[in-house]
Amino acid sequence: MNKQMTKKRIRIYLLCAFGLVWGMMIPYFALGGSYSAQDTPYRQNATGFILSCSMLCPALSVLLTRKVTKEGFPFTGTNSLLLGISLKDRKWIAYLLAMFLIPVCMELGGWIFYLFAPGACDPSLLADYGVTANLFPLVSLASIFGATTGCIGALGEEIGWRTYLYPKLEELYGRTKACIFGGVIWGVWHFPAIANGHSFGTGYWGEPFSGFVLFTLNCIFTGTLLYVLTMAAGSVWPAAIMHAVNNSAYTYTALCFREDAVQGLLSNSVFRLAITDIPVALIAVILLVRIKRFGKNFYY
Amino acid sequence: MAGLLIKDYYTMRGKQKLAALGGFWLLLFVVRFVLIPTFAPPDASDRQVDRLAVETILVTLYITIDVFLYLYVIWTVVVNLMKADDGRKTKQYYLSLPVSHRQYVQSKYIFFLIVCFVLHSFTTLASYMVMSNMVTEQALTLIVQFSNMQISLTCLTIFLAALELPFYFALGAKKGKVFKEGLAIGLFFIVVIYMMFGDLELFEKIGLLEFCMYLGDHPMAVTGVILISPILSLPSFYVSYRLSVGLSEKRGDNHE
Repeated sequence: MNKQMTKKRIRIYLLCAFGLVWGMMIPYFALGGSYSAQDTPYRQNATGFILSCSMLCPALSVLLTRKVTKEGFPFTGTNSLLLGISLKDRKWIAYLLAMFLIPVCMELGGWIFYLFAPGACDPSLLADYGVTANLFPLVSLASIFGATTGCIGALGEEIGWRTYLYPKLEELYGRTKACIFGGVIWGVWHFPAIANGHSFGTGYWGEPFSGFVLFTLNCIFTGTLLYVLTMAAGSVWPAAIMHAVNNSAYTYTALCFREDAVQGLLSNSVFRLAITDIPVALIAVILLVRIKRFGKNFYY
Repeated sequence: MAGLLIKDYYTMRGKQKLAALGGFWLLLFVVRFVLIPTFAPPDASDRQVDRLAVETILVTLYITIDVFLYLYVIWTVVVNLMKADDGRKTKQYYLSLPVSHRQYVQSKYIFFLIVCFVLHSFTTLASYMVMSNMVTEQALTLIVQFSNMQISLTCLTIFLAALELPFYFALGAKKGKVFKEGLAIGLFFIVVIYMMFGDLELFEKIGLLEFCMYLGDHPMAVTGVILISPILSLPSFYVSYRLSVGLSEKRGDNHE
């Protein structure tokens, strides 16, 4: 295990990943792009496209780094892109978890939030989407299917973070620290977008620094889930599916949220995310504590 | 398995086809980010008609490319995939190696799924590009509703391949086209009979915009189709694979 070469590869990868994405996002937002609700559809749609391109940059960075450092491009096996799929030895469970764990956690998180703000749940808002409450499970399932098949953007990110950076960090620092450091790096990578309204919008308490902190924590927790899935399945695909579902799935609690019904701290997006993230955080903390025990049992 | 997939990639001229996809992407990119801002700048409020016209042209171009690619995959990929090995007797060669009939059949089915995934991903990413900076409501409705049906198009492609592939494993490449030819002839006769006896005014009422507006007004119908498509197509594909393994083993080394 050549640690110097591993550190060199990490540096080159981060230079590419941050250079490509920050080089695209910072000028774009500096020239007027944002997520603000006051934007015209012109700017909002362009922001979506910029984000989609950004999601492919980690994979591009991996290809560049592997090319420069002569690491090769194996599709399967150790130190590979982990593009193989195997459903044997109960690995199919990872794919099911990838599709359904995050929506379940998001719903639980939403209901935890509504414990603090019961008046904010308004099922009549579903009518704006042409849906009734009893048919909503079908809509949620359809959004999960759609996200699963359209996971190319998420695949681009996961190839970079979970199949390349996290294993390299694990070589240097061990599994637990790899999840924490990797989550921090992944969170910082999103900073230009968060500073301009991604995830939290604008005008929230402590903007943008509270957003930076909370999103980084979210990345640590979600990144841990994604990495554990990757290790368990020996494949990047469950992580790509889970990432895509996390970005796109509809949940009942999210669509029924009436923003003008909450007051005080709960009206701030950072506090809302902090509460709704509790289920994911709990699972991630348990995995981080027990992750060393999984070491020999993971098929990786 | 990896060797068989790489072999199929080269016999199907994968590099050239990926280059063609790149060419389509470039065409859409030039229209989206060069021609449209040139002919109809978004901030020029007196150019709204021009903006609607060019955005509708862009969306129509995207839909045309999309439908063309899916038709191309449906019409040519399966037959070329099977013809390449049968014609050159390479199937006999591979079966003389430690490659079982099951692995050989599996490689064809997996390769086809990879083609569908690449196509679906290309059209999804292209739709994000086309939608970016779109201003006019009609053009946005067209592209959003068409994109919602993308998963159904992909699943239809997979379902048709599931019906077609066993014929090739049972009858070989030359005779295996019977399914596709039967489907084409059947569709032709249905269209001719409708043209002779059906309500031709239907063609005046049905247009792409009307279809997309209908989808926008019936979101649960779209949801239902999105749900049913993979549920029908993927198990059918698996059943087709199991059937093809049996047919390939039964046919053994008999070739035309």
